[in-house]
Amino acid sequence: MPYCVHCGVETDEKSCPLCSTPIIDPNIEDNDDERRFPYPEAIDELYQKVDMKYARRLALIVLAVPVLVVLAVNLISTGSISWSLYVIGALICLYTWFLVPVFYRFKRPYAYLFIGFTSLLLYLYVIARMNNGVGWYLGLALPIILVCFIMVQLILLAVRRLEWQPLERAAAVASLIAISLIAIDWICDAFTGEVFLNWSIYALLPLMALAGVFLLLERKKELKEEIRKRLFF
Amino acid sequence: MSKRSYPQWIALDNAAKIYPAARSSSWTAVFRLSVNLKEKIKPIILQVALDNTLERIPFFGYRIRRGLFWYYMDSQKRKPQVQEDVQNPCSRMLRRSEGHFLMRLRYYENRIALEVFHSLTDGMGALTFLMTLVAEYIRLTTGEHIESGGMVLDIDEEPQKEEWEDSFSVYAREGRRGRAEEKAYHPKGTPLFPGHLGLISGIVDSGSLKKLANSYGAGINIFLCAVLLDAIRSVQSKEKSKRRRKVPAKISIPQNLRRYYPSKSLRNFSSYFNVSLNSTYGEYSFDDIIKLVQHTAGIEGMEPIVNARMSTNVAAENNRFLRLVPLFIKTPVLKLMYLLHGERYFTTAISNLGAVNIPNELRAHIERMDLILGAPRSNTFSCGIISCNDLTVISFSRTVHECDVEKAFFRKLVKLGLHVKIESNRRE
Repeated sequence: MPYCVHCGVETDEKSCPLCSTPIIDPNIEDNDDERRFPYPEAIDELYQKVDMKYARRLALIVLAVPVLVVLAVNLISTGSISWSLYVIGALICLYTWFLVPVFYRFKRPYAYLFIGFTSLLLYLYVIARMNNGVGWYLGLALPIILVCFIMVQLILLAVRRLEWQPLERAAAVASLIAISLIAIDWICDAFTGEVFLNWSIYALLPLMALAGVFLLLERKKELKEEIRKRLFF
Repeated sequence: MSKRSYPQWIALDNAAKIYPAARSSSWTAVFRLSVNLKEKIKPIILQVALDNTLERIPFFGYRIRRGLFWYYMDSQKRKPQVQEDVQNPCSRMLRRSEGHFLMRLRYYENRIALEVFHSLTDGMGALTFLMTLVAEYIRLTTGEHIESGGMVLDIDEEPQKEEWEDSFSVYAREGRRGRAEEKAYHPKGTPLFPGHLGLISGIVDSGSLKKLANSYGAGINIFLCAVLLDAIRSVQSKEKSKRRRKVPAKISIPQNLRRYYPSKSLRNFSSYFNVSLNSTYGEYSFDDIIKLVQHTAGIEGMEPIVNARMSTNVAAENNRFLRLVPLFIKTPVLKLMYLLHGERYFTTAISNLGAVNIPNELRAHIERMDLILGAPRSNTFSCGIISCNDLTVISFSRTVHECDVEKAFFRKLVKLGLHVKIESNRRE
């Protein structure tokens, strides 16, 4: 009779179903062919999987209809593919922003952000190419979107760090927003030719002060308690 | 009563109405009762036994259909076919490929398993059907006649009108009881592959379990509920979020209303109450938890209170305005109501069918029985308990990979001196 050394339960399985600790019984030979499983190997048809496949296909069909219509109208009216790319790009963005999170399950949310921001970058690139504006795309749109992407990812990381105290997380978010505003101001200035940080400084100072206050409050328990006492409601 | 006078269609009972509306691809509202015999199952004979049992309890072969205002159960000429068992039980019911039946019968080696959509019946109704079927199967395979009694119906008898009665409307009175409750703690976890159900069953000796429970001044049901509540509390205390640690852990305990009223109905006739353990009040010892469950069950088990809870639901169903609302409007509203009220107020459900009352001749052919509750909608696990032939099987079904509550539960039983044998449906 093999037992789990941690849980103390008897089990015929190779590892404990409760804690996954390997079950070792030197008197029993490990022979899979003779093992009797309480449940068969066959798995019932997984309807949700089928449903999801169907939903994905249906969504693609629904999206394909306007794509084909605008492509056809564009081709017939102008003889080339031009303005229809705006519509197609917008539909692809909508798909990646709203339908990908519904249809595809990732363990963590970072992948959704990556997909969403990438589609936005590509869409803006198409618009820039069509309007001979690769300059503003490379100098302005691309770096701003990249900064926003990194900021949102870092904010998500900070917010999900549950081992941090709430005020520490709030301080991290305030600091990240402040840094990203500086970066955006710098990118805008660099695009116009002269780097001179102005408006972002006004945002940076209160945000950093706020972050500092949050951290101070988290470390100074007495001060935190004093404020809590006075703000008691 | 002749077969012709058996109703061609039956309105869904009060408890059954929510399930077809609220079910989804992930929440199947299916539970499963299985019996392990001492001999390997012969599928052809099992099919004959099923056909004969359906002659005795015909509404188990009905299908569910949409009316203008409510769903209803409709008779059909097709008969359900026995199927081989699978690794992931309690999967979605009412499939076109299965003839839209509200039940399915499965077999694997020496096991017969009945899976039931909750609109059809509750645990006791399903148990009666399964035991009657097993008695018929034994008669067909061995020639031995099993006397009817307890959970076994006389297969040669005509179906009785009381068996398909909606007992809720018969026994409901005027009293009403509010449903407002505090939101319960819900453990989180990594979801299993869609449609899959993780099962862990613990087999314990009923006599030892009873002795242990009695040493705490409790019965088996109260004792196991207390152990479960204690296990949930220990998992909750390890939560990183302070807010999640503060929410009360609550378990939902079904009540068989046939204990209170002389109903012979084989359809749904059960209610439930919730036991809440609020950790923000302080630390509870195991004895405290037993008292908490015992006293809550004592109060919630009083007939007037049981009736008021049941009558509140019946009154809602009988509301004239609600009755006149077309089904296509009712369905999303009922779905929303279930999302808002259904599993929000309890952490998990623990259903104990107790010791199965069957004739001794039938008992001699049975090894053990299992009760598995299907995947909950928003909660991550549920627990079904049944005792037969001095073996109590405690089965946890879950929709996530983590089994922390189960681990804490069985470790507690071992710590208290019980011998527990564990099985699961995973294949390493």
